[in-house]
Amino acid sequence: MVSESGLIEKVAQGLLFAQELDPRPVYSIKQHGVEIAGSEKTAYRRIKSLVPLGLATFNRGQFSIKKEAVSQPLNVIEKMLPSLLALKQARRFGRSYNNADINFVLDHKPDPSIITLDFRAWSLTKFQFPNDLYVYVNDIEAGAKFLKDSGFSEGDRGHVVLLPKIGSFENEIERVYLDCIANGDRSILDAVALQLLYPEQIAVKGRFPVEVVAKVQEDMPSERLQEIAPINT
Amino acid sequence: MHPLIREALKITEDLGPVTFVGAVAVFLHTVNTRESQDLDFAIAKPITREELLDKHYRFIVENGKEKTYTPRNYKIDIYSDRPLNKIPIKTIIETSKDFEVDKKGHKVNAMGLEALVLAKFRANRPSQDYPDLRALAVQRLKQIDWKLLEKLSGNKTEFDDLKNTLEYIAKQ
Repeated sequence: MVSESGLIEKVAQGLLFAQELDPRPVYSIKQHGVEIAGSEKTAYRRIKSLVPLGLATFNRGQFSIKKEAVSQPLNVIEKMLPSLLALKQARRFGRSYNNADINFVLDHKPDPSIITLDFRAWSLTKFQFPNDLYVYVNDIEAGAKFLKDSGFSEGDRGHVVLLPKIGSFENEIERVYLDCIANGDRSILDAVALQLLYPEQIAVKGRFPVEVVAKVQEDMPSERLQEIAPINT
Repeated sequence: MHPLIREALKITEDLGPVTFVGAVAVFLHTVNTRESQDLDFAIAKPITREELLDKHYRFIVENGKEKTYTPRNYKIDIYSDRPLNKIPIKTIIETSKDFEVDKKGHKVNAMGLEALVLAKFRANRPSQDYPDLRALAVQRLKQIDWKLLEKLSGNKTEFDDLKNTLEYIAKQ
């Protein structure tokens, strides 16, 4: 098994490449990739190195990047490797494709499972409404079998996501925080909200654009903001 | 009913015809959202501070910035004169769409699909607009009126780039 520092070494060039790209939802390898990497071949190599960690996707000369995840300092990326690897192995399930699926899993989730991302972030911050239920389970195969036996189907549209337990869960808030950064997209806003509300519980601090932090501060429910003030003064 | 939509319906009852942009619009087009508890909407006729106060809306200064809250404590942002990502409010309202939100026939008006994807593309915020663009592309690509989108954009290069982006992310 490759160590965390070994993995970072393997993706370091890819991370540097991704960090230099201006934010866009989709890039062209010929246009944007070559500009940074110098050649098409090198651009492909850089992008491919990020794929196993779920930090990039590519198809037919185009690619996308989890921009705010790759923009983190190396110590944060190293710390969030277990989150990245777990998310890469995530399996998504649905039955009714609405809240009923989530309620069913909350009622029947196996012990000892751990909820992370949307629902855990919501319970900790009340910042963004949750959408998907992400659950860490000890045995993902057994979890998947249980859901399938209960009428769930595996696919891309479901709202229940099983994750294998990889890495440490000792500091639960920090783990949820790192999961949020690793997941990218709107979970980045959850990460910022967690960092604002629980600064002492989070030892490894991510780096976020000023406008993202401002957006979270602005949209945070006022009663939560009042909690932030005494924490940060 | 999703809490944001329930609140959108209440705001419509309070203020009359408004066109929701942002979170509510994304939700109505995709039934998918992870939004904070704020609602943005466009309104043809500017609404005065007094009118809002009469309807028990509140103005609160937080972090040196005045914010407007509904009587149910949701933060709102009203667009009546400033364009949204260079799309004129008049265009947003003209191309908007009514969505039936319950079995009693209650409706909420929201930005049309084409104006919404254009606004999201122009806003270009990775943590907010990319997931919305993805949800819209995955679920609504086939419903996009490309001619309308090109007209709204008014720029062939931007339109081609946006079309290409939506087609790529719809397949991911």
